[in-house]
Amino acid sequence: MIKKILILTLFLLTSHLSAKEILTIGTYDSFSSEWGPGPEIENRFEEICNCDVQYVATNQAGSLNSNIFQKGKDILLGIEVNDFDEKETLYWAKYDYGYFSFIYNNEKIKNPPNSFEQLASNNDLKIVVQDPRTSPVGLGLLRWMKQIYSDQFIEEFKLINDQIVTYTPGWSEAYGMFLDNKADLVLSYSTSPFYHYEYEDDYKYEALIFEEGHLITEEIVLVNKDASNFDLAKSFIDFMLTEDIQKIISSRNIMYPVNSNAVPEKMNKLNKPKRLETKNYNTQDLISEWLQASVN
Amino acid sequence: MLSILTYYDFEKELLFSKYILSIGIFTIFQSILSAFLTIILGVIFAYLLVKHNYIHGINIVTNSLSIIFVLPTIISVMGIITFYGDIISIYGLHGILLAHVLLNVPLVTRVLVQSLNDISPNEKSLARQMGLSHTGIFFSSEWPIIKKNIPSLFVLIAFICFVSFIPILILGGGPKYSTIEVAIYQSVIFLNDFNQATVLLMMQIFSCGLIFIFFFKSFKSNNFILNDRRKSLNYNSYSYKYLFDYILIFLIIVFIFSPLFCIILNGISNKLLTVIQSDFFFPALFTTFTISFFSGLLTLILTYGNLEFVSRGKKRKELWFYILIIFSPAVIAVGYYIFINELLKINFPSIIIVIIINSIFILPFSYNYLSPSFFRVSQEHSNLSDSLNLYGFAKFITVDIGRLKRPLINTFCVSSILSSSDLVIISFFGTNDLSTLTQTIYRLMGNYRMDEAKALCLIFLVYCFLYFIIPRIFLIRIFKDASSN
Repeated sequence: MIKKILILTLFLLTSHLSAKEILTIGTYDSFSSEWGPGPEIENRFEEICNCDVQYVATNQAGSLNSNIFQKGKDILLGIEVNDFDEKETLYWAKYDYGYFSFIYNNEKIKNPPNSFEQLASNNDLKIVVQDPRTSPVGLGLLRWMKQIYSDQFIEEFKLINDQIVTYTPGWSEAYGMFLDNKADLVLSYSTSPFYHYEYEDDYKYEALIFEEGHLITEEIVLVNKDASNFDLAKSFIDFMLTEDIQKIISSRNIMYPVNSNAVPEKMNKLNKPKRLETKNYNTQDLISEWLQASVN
Repeated sequence: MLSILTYYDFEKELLFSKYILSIGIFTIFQSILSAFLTIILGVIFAYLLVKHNYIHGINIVTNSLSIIFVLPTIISVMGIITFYGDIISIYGLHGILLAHVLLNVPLVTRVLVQSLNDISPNEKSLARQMGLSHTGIFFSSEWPIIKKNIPSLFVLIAFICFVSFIPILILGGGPKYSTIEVAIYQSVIFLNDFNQATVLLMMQIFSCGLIFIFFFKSFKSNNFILNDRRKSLNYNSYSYKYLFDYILIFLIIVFIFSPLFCIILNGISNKLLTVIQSDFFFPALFTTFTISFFSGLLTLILTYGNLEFVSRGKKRKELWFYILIIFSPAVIAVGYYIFINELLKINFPSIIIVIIINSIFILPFSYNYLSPSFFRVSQEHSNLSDSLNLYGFAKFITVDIGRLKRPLINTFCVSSILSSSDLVIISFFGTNDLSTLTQTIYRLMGNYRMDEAKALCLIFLVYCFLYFIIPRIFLIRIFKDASSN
């Protein structure tokens, strides 16, 4: 009797295994978790592809760039454009973007600064940012300021550093501190207030818009070098760019979609800052300069 | 660890900058200072708790100390910021010291209280008969016990503070106050620069080794007075004489438990019900429980086994327990990831890997919880069991378990919760289906859902609380033994 059950189970298992092709996507936790766009995209894609989409997620920033993590994945989703080398892949696309920006509470701050100059000269705002060594958002701030000030970067950063309360390991701790009123400003994306408008009906959070312009960050989905089925992976990437999926991405990822028709209504109402393109700065050099500016 | 060495590129140069040297010195400095302050406060607190254990409810305080220690660091630190953030400026060296002391005093106090409670009632009545004052009693019977515990506790706390990551990063206020662990974390996970990581790890091991050699003394050195099993009476009672003591106790309690209260207050909201009813809650709860339970069990078995091993050997064997802490969890996790996925190419179920690695990491803590009682009991019984030719498991069942029930339960509970609080290891081996409550809290935070994260923190707290209480109730029922402490 037991033998029969065993054989039956094995049979079912193997038949299940050979049924569908598996598409392995390596991405960040925030994308693939139940509150992110991942599950919905997975369901919809599985309806049309006759395959099994599986996310392998990490919550450590930077893991997506490591060879160890990349092995065995067909698709990598969520790499930042600065860390991306076009020659490493055969097919890729940008799927969303955002502008780095400081978020403030408009009930507490009535006269927000509208440029980096004003922010630097202001002395009584408490800023919480992320450590650029452990968070891409923190690193984004360095790149942003470097782009605006180039050689004056260290001096300008020292002015801002006086107001920085602390550097947190990741975005979540900083944002949590900000919402808890432990800081007046937090470094995040200009689309962050959209979350509060849409899901909490709360309009007191706004993004500071600076005259000098804001650095853009773009997220990329690409086919990994050793992907098992190139066509399937390619079709997934094309799928990500369709309008319906773009709508899902923007409303759950809280970022601007690359497809301008897919912007949610309340996100459209946000102020869009002037755009600064990313320039390639050497990360190690930038961090050394930051250390000089912040350790005094 | 060895797996990471396979990636070591011998041709790359070592980046030994002035900055790394300065943070190395800072790391040593803050860890020793933190440990020092922690021990002082812990000793005072433990002494007060035992002296005044007639106060109603003081048992609850003593027992809940463990909970603070085992909570995920990120939750405790956010609690600290919430409570102390507005009162004093907490960013900087003083913030780091505050957090380290606050988070580690519970451990020290707990271990010391356990040791102090083991003092024979005979001694107490003898002291009373001799008319010794409180100071006299302290110096003759309590201080020697405390003194024995201090060196190993000091080293443990120093190591914990040495490798502490989140308090340093958040409360340090900037890269000026940074530790080697932060640098390791950054190079392994963010930059994938394994050379740098290995070099830093060597630095860490070297410095910790120095600390160990200077300060460590074994738990098991001589002279524990044989004790009997009578319940010891406390001859103190409420009195004006102790007003100063009462104020001190109150202040310390407020100091230590305040973050806990903040977590509780923050968690109470209408999101509480939302969280409980969501899809992710029960699977996460179940996973957390499974991991904690089996890790706790495995740790207990390993600790006990190793203690047996150590008791027959020399002092240096205890070094193994402590070495585990200083191997940065980040490095170990990545190393094992490489090892299992690439070098072994076997598909182990992730949950087993998580349980095993967690158990290994928790060993130093369980060692500190269990060893004072263990060595005391084993000294008493070693002759007996030798004469009866009892070894290993038989010895455990017949002789040791009766006396070691409480410590074993405590150790089990602490180990379990510690393993469920871990974020580093689970983040490497966890998947969407395999996630713990702690991970879910972090994920919620990363998706803008702060209120739900706070509600989940509160639930996790309740989980820890229940986890501590239920085994105790169980055990009292099963082993209704008049001779148990």
